[in-house]
Amino acid sequence: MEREVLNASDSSASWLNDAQPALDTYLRKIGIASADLRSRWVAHVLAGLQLNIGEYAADDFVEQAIEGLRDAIDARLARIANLDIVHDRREIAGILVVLQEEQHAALVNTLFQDFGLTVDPEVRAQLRAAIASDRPRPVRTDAPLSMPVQEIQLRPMNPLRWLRRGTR
Amino acid sequence: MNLASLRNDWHGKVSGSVYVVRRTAYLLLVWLTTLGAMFLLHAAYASGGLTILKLLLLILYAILILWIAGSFWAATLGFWVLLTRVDYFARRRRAVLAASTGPLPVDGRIAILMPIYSEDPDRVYAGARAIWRSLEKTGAADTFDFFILSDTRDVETWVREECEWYRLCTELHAHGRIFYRNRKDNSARKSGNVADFVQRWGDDYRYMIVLDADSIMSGDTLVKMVRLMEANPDTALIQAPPLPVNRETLFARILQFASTAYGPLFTAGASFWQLGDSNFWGHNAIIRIAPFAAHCGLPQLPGREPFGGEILSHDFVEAALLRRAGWRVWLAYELRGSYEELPPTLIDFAKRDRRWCQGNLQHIRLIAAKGWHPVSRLHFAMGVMSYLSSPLWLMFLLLTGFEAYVQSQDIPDYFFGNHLGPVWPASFTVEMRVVLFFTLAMLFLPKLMSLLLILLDKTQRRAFGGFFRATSSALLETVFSILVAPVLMLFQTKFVWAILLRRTIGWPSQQRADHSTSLGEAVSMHGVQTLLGIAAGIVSYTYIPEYFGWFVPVLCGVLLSIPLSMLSSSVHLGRIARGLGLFITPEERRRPEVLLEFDKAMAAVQSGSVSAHNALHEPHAQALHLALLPPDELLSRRQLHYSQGLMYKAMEEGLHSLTTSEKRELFSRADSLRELQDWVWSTSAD
Repeated sequence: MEREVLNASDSSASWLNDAQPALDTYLRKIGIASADLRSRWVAHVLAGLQLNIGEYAADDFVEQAIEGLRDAIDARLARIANLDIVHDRREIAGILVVLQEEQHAALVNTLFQDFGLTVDPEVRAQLRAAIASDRPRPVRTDAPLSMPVQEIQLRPMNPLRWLRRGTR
Repeated sequence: MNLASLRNDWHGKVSGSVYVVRRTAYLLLVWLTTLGAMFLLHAAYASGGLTILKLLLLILYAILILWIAGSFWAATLGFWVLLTRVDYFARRRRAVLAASTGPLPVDGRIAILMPIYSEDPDRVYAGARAIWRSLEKTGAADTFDFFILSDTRDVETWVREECEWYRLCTELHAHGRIFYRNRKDNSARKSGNVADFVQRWGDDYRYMIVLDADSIMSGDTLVKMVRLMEANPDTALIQAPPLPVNRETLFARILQFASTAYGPLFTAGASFWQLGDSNFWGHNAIIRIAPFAAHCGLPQLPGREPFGGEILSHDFVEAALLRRAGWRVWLAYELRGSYEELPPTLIDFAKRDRRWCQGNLQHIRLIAAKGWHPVSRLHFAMGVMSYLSSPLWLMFLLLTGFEAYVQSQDIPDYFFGNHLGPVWPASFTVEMRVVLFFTLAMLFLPKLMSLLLILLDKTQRRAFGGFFRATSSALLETVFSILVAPVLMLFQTKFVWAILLRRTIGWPSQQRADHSTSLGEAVSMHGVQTLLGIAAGIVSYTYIPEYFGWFVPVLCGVLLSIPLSMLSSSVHLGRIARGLGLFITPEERRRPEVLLEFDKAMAAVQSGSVSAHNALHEPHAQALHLALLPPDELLSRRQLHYSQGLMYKAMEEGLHSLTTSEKRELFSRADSLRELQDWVWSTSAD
């Protein structure tokens, strides 16, 4: 079945309306309480997608929008925390975990105030403090110790062999 | 007395003659008892000549009575030790603990390991929370780190474990102190899980305290174990015997009572003769990491399962390897504050036995292996006998019945040879009764001795509910154990048989929470047993009616196995028994602080909050899962196609259409996880 490809003139189509609530819910769930802030982020992401609208199939659009939103969030966090968006994916995910803690609700709103390149040093310091206290650290740094496999010399369990050896 | 002098004194005694004297005494008692019983039985069987059947019975009885005598004398020595409190080593341990009150050594960090495999995360983290809180109260928590070492395959449980772990760290302000790791490849089961820890982080720690998923240990006990290790540099492992707690079903409450009341006798007795050659029970023990790493890398046994392959009951082997390398292994039976949970029903108990049976029978091959300490060989042999004794008892019962039938067919000849008058056949009824009495006494006297110890101690007596309730509980427990013993005998015989036929079991997770046995489950598990009981009853009543009465106690348990299994699984009956003050244990009567913490944690459980779907739909769970994943490995083209195929399957047929391993495949890689998340959000965002 051939898939319907979107074009820019469809901007008022339903797929755009479908994407908005999904993006809004996602932002709400990561802790952005301000509706105004959320709508600005949704608009920002959708605007970015519309630039390349011809690349998407209609039934993939919401998925692309979600992916775009998550990439934008990751990029923002990576910039603030001085991380590499490709190589430090886990660290960025760890920051997202921290931010979803209730005590950091105010910080989330501050972090996502804009999409710009400059970051307020005070916000960066706040984020660093939050990460230091609450970032998930699944394991310690490796401190390997070798564990050589032991040799266990089994004796034959066949009683006939024991008998034969005994009689010898 | 300072710690150094205590240490020297300790080594002086250990290297002295204590080992020789105690072991000689114990082994002499066991062998003399066995020989005495054999002498009596031989006298009874000698009439009419020794037939092959009688010889076979004698051999079987010799093996069984040796096994029983070993257990009986361990209990009796334990009784003596606990009554007189003369055990030098226990006193020395107490003195060491009294003398060392300062902070724990800063250079000797300790890791508490909780290996888990598809357990209920709520229960696991309630235990971890209670242990950590208890540890904080000792003021020594800074020296400890806690590792939840998960081997869980199921994605739902995996994600829940992660979320609960993060919640625990946040709640206890223990980020960077409590760690979680889900192993990519769960080879070698629990021993592989612990070995993975040692190989990755072992160099950071001097000791590890190994727990089970249902273990609870008080902080005070953990600190004591570390102090004991510090005072005994030649010791690689100290085992703290765990007491069973927390279960509510009648079956588990009876077992809890039995283990708490009778267990100390056996552990004190075992420690009396095993001394520094004791065994490892797999959990609730502290281990010195350096020797463990150097000497406990387990090999695969040659051949295929169930006797070859991975070593299943690794604990016995690890203790034996440590002893082989010259390290001491102690059972500190006087340590309290060490707990575990029991299977809630008879059927769950049997299922656990099935796994243990396979592991212990595998040790048959190890008994004769080169290089073991003789006591380690005994540990292996005792482990094997704890399951092999069941088919041997069954065989003994069947052959006894057959022998009785043969005897009943004999027509006595009163006139033979040159005798003028009739020659009455000699009666050996007295000897037979003595043998029976002898055997029963060895089986039941330890219970009586335990009860005596409880009743003689005012605090203990009160803790078990007072004179009347403690005595009634012991009596009822004895009746229950008489009924259950033949049922377990049949189960274990079946397990041994299946293993001899080389049928293996996988690694099923355990059902630990209280639940009742349904009629269907009871019939499917005990139906054949009941039919066998009916057949055995008819046969014995028809062919050997004069001996039928002897078989009644065995037949009763088997015939009643279905109602027994169902009724004993009842939580309601368990609570009624507690209301009546029956099967009360000191831990129930006065909950230790760590168990109160556990109760609190269980009461606060928020059920059903996270699932695999949540992990895809909740940014928090998804980010956490991603944060905990190891870096993605490069995939081959074939693997990439496989992964993509799974993704399409999930998208077209739903997540539920994937098998456990397929789901795991997708949830184990950051890129496929993100792709799945985008898809879930685009199709079902609220």
